[in-house]
Amino acid sequence: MSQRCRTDKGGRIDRDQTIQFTFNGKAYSGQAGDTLASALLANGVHLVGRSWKYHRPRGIMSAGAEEPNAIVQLEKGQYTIPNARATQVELYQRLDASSVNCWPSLDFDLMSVNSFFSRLMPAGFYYKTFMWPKFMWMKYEYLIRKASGLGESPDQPDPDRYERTHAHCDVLVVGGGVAGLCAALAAGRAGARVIVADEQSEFGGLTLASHAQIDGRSADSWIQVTIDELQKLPEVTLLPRSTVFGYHDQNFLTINQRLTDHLPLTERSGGREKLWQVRARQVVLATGAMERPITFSNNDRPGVMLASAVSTYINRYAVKPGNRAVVFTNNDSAYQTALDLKSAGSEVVALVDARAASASEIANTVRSAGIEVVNASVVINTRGRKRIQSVKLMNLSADGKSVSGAIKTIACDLLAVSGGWSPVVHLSSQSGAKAVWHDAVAMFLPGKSLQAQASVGAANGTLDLKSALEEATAAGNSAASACGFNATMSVPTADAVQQDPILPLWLVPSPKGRGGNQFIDLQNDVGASDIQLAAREGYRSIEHVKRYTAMGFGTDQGKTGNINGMAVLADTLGQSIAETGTTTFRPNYTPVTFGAIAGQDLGERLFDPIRKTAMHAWHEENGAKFENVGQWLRPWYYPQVGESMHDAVNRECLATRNSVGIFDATTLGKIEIRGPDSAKFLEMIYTNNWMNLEVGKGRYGFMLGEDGMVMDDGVTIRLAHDHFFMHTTTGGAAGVMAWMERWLQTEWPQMEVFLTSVTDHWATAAVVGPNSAKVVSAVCDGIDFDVETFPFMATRTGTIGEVVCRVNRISFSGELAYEVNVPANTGRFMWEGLIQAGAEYDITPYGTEALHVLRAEKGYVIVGQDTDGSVTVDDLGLGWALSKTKADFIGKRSLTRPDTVRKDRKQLVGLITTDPNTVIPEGAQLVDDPHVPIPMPMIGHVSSSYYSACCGHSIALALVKDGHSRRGDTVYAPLANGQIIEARVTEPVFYDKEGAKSNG
Amino acid sequence: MLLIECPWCGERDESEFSYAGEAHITRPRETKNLSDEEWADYLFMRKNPRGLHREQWLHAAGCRRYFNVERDTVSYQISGSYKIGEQPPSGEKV
Amino acid sequence: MADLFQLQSPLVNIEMGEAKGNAPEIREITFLGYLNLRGKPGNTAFLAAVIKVLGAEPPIEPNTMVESGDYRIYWLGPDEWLVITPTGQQGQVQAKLLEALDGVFSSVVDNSSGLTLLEINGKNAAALIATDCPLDLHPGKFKPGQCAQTRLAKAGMTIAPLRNGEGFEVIIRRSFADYLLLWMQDAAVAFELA
Repeated sequence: MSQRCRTDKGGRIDRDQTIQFTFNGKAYSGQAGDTLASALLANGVHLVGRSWKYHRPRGIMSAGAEEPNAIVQLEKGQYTIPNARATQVELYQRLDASSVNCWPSLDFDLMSVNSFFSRLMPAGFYYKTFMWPKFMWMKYEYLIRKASGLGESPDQPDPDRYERTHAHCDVLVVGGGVAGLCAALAAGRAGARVIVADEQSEFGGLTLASHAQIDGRSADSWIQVTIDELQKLPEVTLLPRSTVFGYHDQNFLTINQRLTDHLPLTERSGGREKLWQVRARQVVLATGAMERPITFSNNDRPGVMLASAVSTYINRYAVKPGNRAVVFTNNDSAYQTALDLKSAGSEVVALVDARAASASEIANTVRSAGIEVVNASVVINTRGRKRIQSVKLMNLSADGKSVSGAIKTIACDLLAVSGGWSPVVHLSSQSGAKAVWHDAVAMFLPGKSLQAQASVGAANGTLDLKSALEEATAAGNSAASACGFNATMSVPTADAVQQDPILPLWLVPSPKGRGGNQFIDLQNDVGASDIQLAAREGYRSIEHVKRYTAMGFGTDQGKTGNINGMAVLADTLGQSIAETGTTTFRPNYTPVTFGAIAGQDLGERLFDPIRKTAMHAWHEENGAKFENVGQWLRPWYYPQVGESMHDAVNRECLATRNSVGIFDATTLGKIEIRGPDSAKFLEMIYTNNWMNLEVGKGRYGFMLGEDGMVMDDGVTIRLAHDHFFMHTTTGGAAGVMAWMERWLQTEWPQMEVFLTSVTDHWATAAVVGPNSAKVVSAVCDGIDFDVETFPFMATRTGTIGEVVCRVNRISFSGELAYEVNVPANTGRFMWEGLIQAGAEYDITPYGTEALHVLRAEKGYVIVGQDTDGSVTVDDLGLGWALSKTKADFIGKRSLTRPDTVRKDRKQLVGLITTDPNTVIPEGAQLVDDPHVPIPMPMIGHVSSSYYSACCGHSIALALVKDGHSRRGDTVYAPLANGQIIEARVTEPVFYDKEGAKSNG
Repeated sequence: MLLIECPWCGERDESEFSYAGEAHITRPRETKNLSDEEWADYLFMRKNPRGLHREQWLHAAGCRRYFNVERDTVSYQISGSYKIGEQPPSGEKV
Repeated sequence: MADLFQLQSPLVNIEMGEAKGNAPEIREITFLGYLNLRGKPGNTAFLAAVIKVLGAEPPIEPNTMVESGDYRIYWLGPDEWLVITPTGQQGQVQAKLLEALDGVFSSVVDNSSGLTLLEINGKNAAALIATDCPLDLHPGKFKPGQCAQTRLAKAGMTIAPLRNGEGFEVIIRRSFADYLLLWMQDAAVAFELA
């Protein structure tokens, strides 16, 4: 070990396993069990980054998730991870880390020139300076981002796999410190399903770095025994390296488990992270507390650390963070740090305590260890550039509002600071419990629980181990009891520790004319003066001050600085902290990768379901190009060798109109409607009459929303007096089913109607064109295909071999056409039979594009393409489909609303372009005069537009204001590229206007 | 992610359900006799309260039944579910 | 024409493959008969007709299923059930039910080609499904005799614990079968290495 700041003994690192790593290109070594931060400190490296705005040198400040400074980029290329906290990165072989925010290098940072101009960059600087003139913002923004970017996002696809799981438990314990483990043990012993999640690699939390005793043994031994017992309980799941990052409604919590980030790149396999979506009946929050700093001038120098972090580095990681240390505190907890430093061989030059006196047991222990305790004093400033070199002390007045006396300078290379503790109330707050300020302990404590949840231990402000164990045991027992278990664990014993009260101190008063560089939010370079300025400028709400100053906006979300900032604002406004309140704690607690959130729901196969018909493989084998229609993948067109899409669609259309085409119509929604009131029900659902429909016949119907707008359409067939078979649009199937069930279940429960969706059961082939009857009759037995005896809109049942088929004479092209339906397990059999029988007529498979052209040639609308939820049946010019005789149907009353009968509603028309070969883009806006200045008054838009090979020119359907009375008018489609397409308004039927072809 | 109690299937994850808007809106009879205003009231006007709200949900990925939920729009706490035609658990008549 | 005849399961185009490592085995049980049965459970004539044909009353308790000879009846809703018959018997059972239910408000619809059944078996069967299914699959909470409709990834399913083994049977819709199989095969990767 060449780690010059590594202590000779102790710690939880593995001294036999040396790990090589690089930081900013320089090679170092550490030990297994180190974090990147502890390994850097073991090598004497404090300077790890530059601040966001002024590019001031910054060092490692903490030992956990709250770290504002040691933000690093890990690895390069596709494995790169931006903005990792060095304090949470487990060291692994060949780890390659570098500082963010330094250009060109950490030691020589060009941007640090900003720090000389810091007085020119106050709060709201960006708003005030760069927002004017407005057009320059984009340029400024580019430069600002270059100067300030935090880390670099990967520029290659993420190579990793991300797992996820849902989980259910009786008790979720968040935090695996002693309080969490104790609660988990109480619940687990009772037999409850327990999940314990902890963000670190080891359970035990801060206690791993303490000297406490539990149940008469050392704390780390108690932790080990407890983990061993928990591991043996079959219903207990222990999740290390797992951050609970969100607490949502009804005890739904999200955990990100890191599976491989601690391993060398070459040893990683399987998923990188696993997202746990947990529904817990009870939650115990044992998230601990974070130490907060005290704010004073130049409190941001490398070597200024949180006192508890110093203890953690010494006791857990066997690192000596400094040789000559000053401890600065306003409470008792940092006294232990002084002792830890001394036992690690550091010289503790002074323990500076803001309190006038300190006489607790530990204070006396410190004094008797020969450490000088300087009461009623504060650190007012520091010196040093890349590492602290000295501190300046002054006396603090009794009221804490001023400093006085001679300035005393003490040389040091480490300043350990404790401003007291802030319970980690993030998750509690996310659960709806509003954090409440308590003056007596100077903490925000968890508020009243709104969910089945309790906070215990330090998370509840209970810093004393004995009391924390009591709370945790009670919470574990009661959570399990609430789930019906008999939980009666007794409290593990620990000694009570008497502590002197804290002296709240947020911002050290400055001597007259001095001060400045008093950093509240170290990551975002927000100083006390920025908050004071915001208050002077009239900001009152902490939420507004946060946004104006950017306090708490960094990747650390202000975990160390926010409370000091609130206190400074409160003081400036002359109000209490309770009145000032906190900013909102939102998920995520620490940053979560996009990978964890996306999981494996990626790419064409798994992002969204792809639904396929029974004939899908045939379409693939026959060269179809596919398009997505809702979740369905449908054949779009079937190009032959050398054909463009245009060629293929023209060929498919002509073949269908001149001989016979075949189309996979399986995706249409299909609903069986049975029961004595079926016809009565359809009378309400559709706009036309259904009572008088003969058995064996079908009818086309429009379904409206209650607002009178077209919602769906399709043909419904009467199979028996009380039995109908409905077709819906492909995209509307699920919605129509839910819509009809809703009326039956909530409005008309007395109606005797049952609905069953059979969309997936049937495979449907539409055989279309003058030769269609010849093809279908060659395949289907038992049906007379004479066009007179089997008329349009009739249904017949026959057989194909052994398979019963239903044939409906329905047409969506104006041609003689049949839809052949068989159970989908025989779909391909039917399809290939039809293809075989059609060979002599050169049967041509066609896709959705030809379907669209064929129906547009006839002016048949597609709901959802030619309608958009604001189109009525009258707008479509299909008023014949509206019953004049029915007293009521869904949407009827809306048809006489003033807005629905407006004359200038957009109405469906046809368009024929002046140039027959120009196809207007769908969606193009239409105007009367394309030469008026922008914005031109728009009169409508094109909803469908194609080249029609059958007509020999382009055709379009459009919705145009008052369109029904504008036949013959010329309109224009001015396009974004400057082209203007001229077209004539026509009726929306372009082909076989007399309907001569429907009988073949 | 809410945990919603289906009156038939019990507590299930919100992702199994779809929202169906405010509950207890009854379709008027004799719609042709309604004034435009009365019809618009049925069609468009919703309570959108701050606090207790009765709303319809569909157990879309489950038993496909519609039912009512009483939910606080501020805290998102659900006081209970009840079948169509029943009264909400809070006891407040609707 | 007759030479073309072939029944094709929805998964005919998917390579099922062998389970690797600790991944559970996924097996399709093809071509069972599926009838959607609807009726009012308070209607004694309805119940009597069902008992007459299927030998058992449809389960009234939500999320349960009953077995009766070759038939299984799953609760789908308060007036809706799924009847599973042996391969090829659906037509005949449907006809018998329709006859017995003549004049009774009810519905019997053949959905046999619309569904297929997968057995997912092995010690990680529940974990595989839990990857993206929000239902609690703990053996103490979801036992043989129970069934549930829920979602798997982004599609719906009906699921029931197998009576023997550590697995589940999962009934899915034909058009989603490809997607769900690909999804399961991807989810299984997490258990292949373990």
